[in-house]
Amino acid sequence: MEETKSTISSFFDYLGFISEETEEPTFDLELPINSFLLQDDGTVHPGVFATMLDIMMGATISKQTNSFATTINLNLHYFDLHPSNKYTAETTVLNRDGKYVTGEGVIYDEHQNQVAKASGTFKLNPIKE
Amino acid sequence: MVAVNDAKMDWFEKNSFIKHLGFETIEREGKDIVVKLSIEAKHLNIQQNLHGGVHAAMLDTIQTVALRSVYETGVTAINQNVHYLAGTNSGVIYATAKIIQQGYKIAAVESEILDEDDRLIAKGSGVYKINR
Repeated sequence: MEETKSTISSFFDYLGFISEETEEPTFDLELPINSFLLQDDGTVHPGVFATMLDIMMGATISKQTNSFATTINLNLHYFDLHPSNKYTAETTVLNRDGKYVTGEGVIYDEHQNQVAKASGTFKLNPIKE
Repeated sequence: MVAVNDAKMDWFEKNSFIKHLGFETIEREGKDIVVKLSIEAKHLNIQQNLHGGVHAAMLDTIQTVALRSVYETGVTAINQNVHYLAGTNSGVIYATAKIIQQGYKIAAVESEILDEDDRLIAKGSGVYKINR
């Protein structure tokens, strides 16, 4: 697996995400915890998980369709905001209807407990070669 | 609009993630607290639009501001919905929120992000646990 930290977006790099290219039609993403990701009470800001899930779903859909994926909506559930040393995420594409794709994503902590889950709908814009 | 200087908002200044993203609070017409963001290159995605995570973080932040100013205690997000309505990549955007259900341990809030021309950029809602 080749580590590609990364050409996904400025915001992706700004939060410290690390992506790994895989042979699979999915996308692996890791987030080492940093103090700037935390809130005043020591918990992880929900926006961190929202960002991670948006990136994961968008990147997986983009990889499978060779298109840019523009987020139309996100539905997020936060289960545990206590910080973990490292987070990983998985994405599943649920449905494609023409230019519109719906996916879901899950974030796991270092002990493989689910800490957040989301579904979202994305609009495809084909990448011009 | 004037800068908010209220002891109730001390937590905002101590919130590392909020500071890292560059969110600020301002007070509108002497009562409503608004979260403001000056968009920079670091907030953009590969398509050079504002990253969806920034909208989500901003909506959660204003929803938390609204609840903490009423309950005067911490709150924890349980869920959040975000609708992305228009793209943007420069200038200043503003977020406002309205509490739609105020319970003892649970509250529901809705929020929106507007740009400088009052164009609706995103709309959100969320349910929060009140940390009593």
